[in-house]
Amino acid sequence: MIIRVSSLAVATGSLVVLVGLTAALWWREYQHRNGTLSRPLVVYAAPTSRLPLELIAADYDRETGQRIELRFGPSEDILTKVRYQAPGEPADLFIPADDSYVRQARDLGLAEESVPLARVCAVVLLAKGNPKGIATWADLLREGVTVAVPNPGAAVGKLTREHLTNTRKWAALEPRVVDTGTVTEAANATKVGSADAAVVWDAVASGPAYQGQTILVLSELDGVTGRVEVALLTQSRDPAAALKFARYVTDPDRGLVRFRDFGFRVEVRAGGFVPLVRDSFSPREGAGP
Amino acid sequence: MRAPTRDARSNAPFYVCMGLLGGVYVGLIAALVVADIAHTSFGDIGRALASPQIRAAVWLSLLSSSAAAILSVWVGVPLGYLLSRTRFPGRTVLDVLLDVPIVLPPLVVGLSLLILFQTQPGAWFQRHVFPVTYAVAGVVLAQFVVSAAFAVRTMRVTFDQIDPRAEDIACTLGCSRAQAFWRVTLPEARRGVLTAFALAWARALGEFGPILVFCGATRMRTEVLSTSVFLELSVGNLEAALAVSLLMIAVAVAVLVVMRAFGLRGTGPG
Repeated sequence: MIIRVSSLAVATGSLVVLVGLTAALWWREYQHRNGTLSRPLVVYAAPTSRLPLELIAADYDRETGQRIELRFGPSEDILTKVRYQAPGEPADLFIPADDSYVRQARDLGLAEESVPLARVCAVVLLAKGNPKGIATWADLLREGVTVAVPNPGAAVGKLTREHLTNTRKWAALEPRVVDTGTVTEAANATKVGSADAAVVWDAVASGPAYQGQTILVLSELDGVTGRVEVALLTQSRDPAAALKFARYVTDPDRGLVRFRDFGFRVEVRAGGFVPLVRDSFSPREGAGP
Repeated sequence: MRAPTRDARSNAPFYVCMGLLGGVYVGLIAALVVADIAHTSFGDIGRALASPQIRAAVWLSLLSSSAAAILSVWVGVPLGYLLSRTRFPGRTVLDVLLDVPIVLPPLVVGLSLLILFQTQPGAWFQRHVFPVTYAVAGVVLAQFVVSAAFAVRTMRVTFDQIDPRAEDIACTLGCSRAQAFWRVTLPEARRGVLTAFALAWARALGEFGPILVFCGATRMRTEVLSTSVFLELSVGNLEAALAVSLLMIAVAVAVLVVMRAFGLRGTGPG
């Protein structure tokens, strides 16, 4: 059966549907904005910290009732977002993939203080099954081996190039290198088998996604290290709440446990980082954890 | 009896060549989908569907893509008509300007939106009308900016292919230009309108770069399906990323098939 519908009816119908869709989207947003009593803390984070952070945010919400809104993106992207914050919606904390972005944020006046969460160092993640039989640095230089290295936009890529250039090893490796965008893209290249090895942070390589793949710790990469830090943003509307959450994240019995579970090398020492945060922030914060 | 056989024989190489050339592309797409399917499992798809974050992303993708596609058609029809049927100062500039969202890298579209809403008028709009940056409205806007450009192009080609004489005759018979447009030209353009809607919808569904930059990747809030793929890839969870990708393909195919079937039936014969 063919139904003839006038253009006017179709146009009117499309407007009715549009109004319905707008109402549905508005309701979704309204529920989000009014779902909790307090304003959520906005945390910009690199996806490498996503898995522990999601659990920490859920724990914190359950324990304190304070909702945490995690916004993920590549480090350079979240730095841009912190720089161009939405009017009336400032962010509170910044957790990029490594401390180089924290330094940039500090230089731009976006962050004043930061607290280390974990140390990261460069390792070589091998493809599943290690088909090329790579076991040493010399094996990476063999003809036919492909080594994924993140481009210099990612800290591990930049630091690896600098370190290997300084130690005069880069020229030998360079013919085997393929540039990838980010550290996870390099790791993913080994997972799908398009690269035989990848230079990545150890925290990425030991993540659950790459279980079953061999990690090589090579002395040639010894100097390539970085730190994951949580930075407190100057634009935060509620610095006390932001500091409280930062303290929770860096607490050896709470947040750091989650980071450790996901393969991050958190600094385990008496008191962990809590004293650092407590000493720095308690006078302004007032409340206990 | 011999002539048709000879014709059929002489035409065979032509059709074989056409089929082979086209088949390369069809084969490539089919191979991509098969490779994706081979790398995932029903368990991965089930786990993806069980995730509240991904279910929320499915709904947001469907709602926002549909809204963006309707808005795209609403601007695509008048712009396509004006570019096709009228001559006015600055027409060439307008024509080029409308291609900007297509040629710009997606990330630049997102960054441009981000900067636009940091300007004084943009900030005023967000404070006094409604928030756009990192909000659902921003998702629709980011999708609309790109998909509308495709709708405009489609509608312009559609109106170019419709003979203006029927519209002119309607005017000589007493119709105003608006009446002739509504009663003669637009009904003739219905297939083009539907194609523009489908193209805009599909483009909006697959939009990623502008949404990531302009609206972020906040789970349960501004996360659309393409963002889910990114988030899973960013922790190396390729299985989940592929499962969400297949989900996107399934949703897109289902919606486009239903839309075309019902759309063409509802608007009468061609």
